[in-house]
Amino acid sequence: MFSPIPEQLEENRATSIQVHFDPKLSGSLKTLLKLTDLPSSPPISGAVPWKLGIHLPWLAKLKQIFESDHWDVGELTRRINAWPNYVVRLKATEKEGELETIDLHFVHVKSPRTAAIPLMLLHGWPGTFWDFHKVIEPLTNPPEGHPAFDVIIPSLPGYFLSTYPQRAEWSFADSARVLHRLMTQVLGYSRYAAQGGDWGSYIMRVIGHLYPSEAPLLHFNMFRVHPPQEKDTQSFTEAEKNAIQRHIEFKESGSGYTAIQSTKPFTIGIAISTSPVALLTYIGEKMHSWSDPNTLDPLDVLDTVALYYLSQSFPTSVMIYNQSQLLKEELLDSSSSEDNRWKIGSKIGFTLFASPALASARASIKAVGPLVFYKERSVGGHFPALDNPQGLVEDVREFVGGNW
Amino acid sequence: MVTRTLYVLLASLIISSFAQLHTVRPFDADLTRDAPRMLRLVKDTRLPPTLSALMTVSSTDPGVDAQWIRKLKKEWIHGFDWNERQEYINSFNHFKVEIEGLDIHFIHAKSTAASTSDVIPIILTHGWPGSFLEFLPVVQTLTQLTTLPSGRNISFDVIIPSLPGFAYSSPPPPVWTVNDTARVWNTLMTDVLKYTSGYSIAGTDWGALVNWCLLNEYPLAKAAHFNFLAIVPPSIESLIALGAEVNDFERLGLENAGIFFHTGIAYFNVHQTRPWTLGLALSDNPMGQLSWIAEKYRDWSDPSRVDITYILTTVSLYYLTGSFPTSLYIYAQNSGFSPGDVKAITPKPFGYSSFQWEGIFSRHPKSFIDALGNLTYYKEHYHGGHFAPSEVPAVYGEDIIEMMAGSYPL
Repeated sequence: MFSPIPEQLEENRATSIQVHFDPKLSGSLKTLLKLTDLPSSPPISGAVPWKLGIHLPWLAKLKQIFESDHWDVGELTRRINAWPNYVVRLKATEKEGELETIDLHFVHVKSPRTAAIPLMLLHGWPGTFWDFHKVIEPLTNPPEGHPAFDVIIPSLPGYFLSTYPQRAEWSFADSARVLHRLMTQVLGYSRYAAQGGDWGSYIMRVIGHLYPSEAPLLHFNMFRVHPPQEKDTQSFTEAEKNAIQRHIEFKESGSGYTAIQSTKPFTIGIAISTSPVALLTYIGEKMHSWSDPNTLDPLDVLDTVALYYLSQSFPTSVMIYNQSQLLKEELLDSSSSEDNRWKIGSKIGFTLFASPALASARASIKAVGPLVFYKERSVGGHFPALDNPQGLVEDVREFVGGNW
Repeated sequence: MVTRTLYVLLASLIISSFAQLHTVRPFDADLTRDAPRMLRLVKDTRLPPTLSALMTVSSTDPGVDAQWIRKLKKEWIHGFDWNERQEYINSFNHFKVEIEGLDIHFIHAKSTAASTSDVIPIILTHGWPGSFLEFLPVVQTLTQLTTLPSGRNISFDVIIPSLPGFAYSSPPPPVWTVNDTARVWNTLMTDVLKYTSGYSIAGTDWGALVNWCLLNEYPLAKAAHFNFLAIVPPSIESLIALGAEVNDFERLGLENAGIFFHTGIAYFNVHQTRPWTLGLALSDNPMGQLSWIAEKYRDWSDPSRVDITYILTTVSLYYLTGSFPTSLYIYAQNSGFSPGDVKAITPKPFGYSSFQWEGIFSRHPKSFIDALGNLTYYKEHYHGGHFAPSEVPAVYGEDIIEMMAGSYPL
């Protein structure tokens, strides 16, 4: 199968690559978009927009841009390659005799400043490494007086160009260990900070539990535990109550995708991944529902969908729901008990953006680890690097720069 | 003069509107125009690599793998012939009729032995991802003469409708439940087709929910046959505590229910909460519809009865009629149905055929079904599954005949 990753790769050494895509797939993206029709109106009238799924006019508008000359694979590729992209081949685990390897793709941008803080940025689903493209420049090359960062943005195993291990028991804890090795053994950082949401937040919680001294500062834009009882929410702020409410609604009617992805990942993988319009619909609905409707840029949706299609990674991207389900449940449960298996030793920073899918209140986070930075923002959502990059950068500078 | 003309005009308008009320319009399926486009989309779809290495170590079945779907894709392009299947479909008599503002499609296959037998009308209703196709292999068994051991001759007039939003039936209005469909079916059988002495009912999946309502609420629905009931099953322990005897065959059905509720029910959640996302994602995506639908035939059928041509015909029908998105709405529109409350409120008879490979909700023990109402017929089969009418048509047909011969009040 076509891949920009060379077949022969030395283990544990980062190799520079140019990202490019199978020309047949690039061609078929536009062809299939144009060939695929959308209905002109919903077949059953009278439904509230977005209540039973994606809003057709919104989808039609995005499809129109996607298939037009206003969106171009070559342009996206050029923008990606404006940053240094790498791949490293690592053994899947550090066990004696481990044979399976993972190829990890990542962007690594070193700051021109001295004493830059190494910062790993972790995406989730349906995100990509490219979620962070707007924050690279301000983080690595800030104006005078602001902290500077070396930025490392991996593609999680099974996402974009990162390969997926072929074993039953792979979970995000294993991904956390591999990513820790990337930072410490491959890139040689003795200490680092991290920022993330979605699956990235679960990975950071493992890192904060396993490696608190090497990863002393972790900034979250999502930190999910089970919603608290009604009686315990009296002291919550409006933003926190709103977040809890959204969490409850999510569980009631917005979590069908987690059910299907955790039980029949192969089926949904094939059904959605082979059609660009299906990907646009399925991913677009989530990006819209979980983002700030005022600041989400449709072009970011299109870029995301294109990256999933061109790398054919959608089927492996959903495997985490199937294989990490039990571990996720453990972390969701970890707020209350003293005997907490997943307590975090690193310092925690948390920003509650306006439109999160699954944020938690401060009290819930404090039960798991030391929360030293908390901010509420009225702009942005589940992908803050996309829909409030300035706010995210400010909070990372303040929390990480201020505590390093 | 003017007044008289107006009167005549008005009268003729009224008369013609009555004539149009329930005008049954015959038609032939003709979906050949879009079949080449469907195949072009199929050809242009590039399937992802297989993940079968993951399958062998995964503890529960993760869905259909690319290897199998690739095989189906190849068959769709090189082996399958929609025109030939359409000829087969059109060998039956198709009609449409407007009822309550909905255009309802149905097949009407009359008994071929009406002069020498008692004729029982029967309406057979499919579910999801089924269609009228499910019952075509059973038609001849039912319409032909059956001589019973008693010497009595019976045969059936067979009516096979498409649920609103499926195949050729128009979509339902925004608020619509299986109870509304039951009312429309009763109108179809009595007002439209004039079976004013009554009729029998059978069907599966959503059709079974329509039929439960028909049996309980409509006097002219006189007897019902089921091979599926959407009831949350009791635990084996609670049944035994009630003194029920559960044999091995019944125990297997309850165990399969456990698997279904654990890892097989997510599609239900997606259909119920986000039908429009899934519907749009797959609406002009034949390979997507194939993956989504073929998985159900693989998981819910007798493995020895999985028929690739039948699956491809079904998916082609969903795709070419553009009904995939609307077919999902039945889940969203019936979210209020409570599978727990199912005692019959009628003494009318019903029967249950228990097919071993029934893969969803549950295949219930006899003692459990017996407690629901007037169970007059029960049979167990080691072959056949959720789509029994198309998987084991001869046996399914025989069960219906046997049951109605014994229980349908002529």
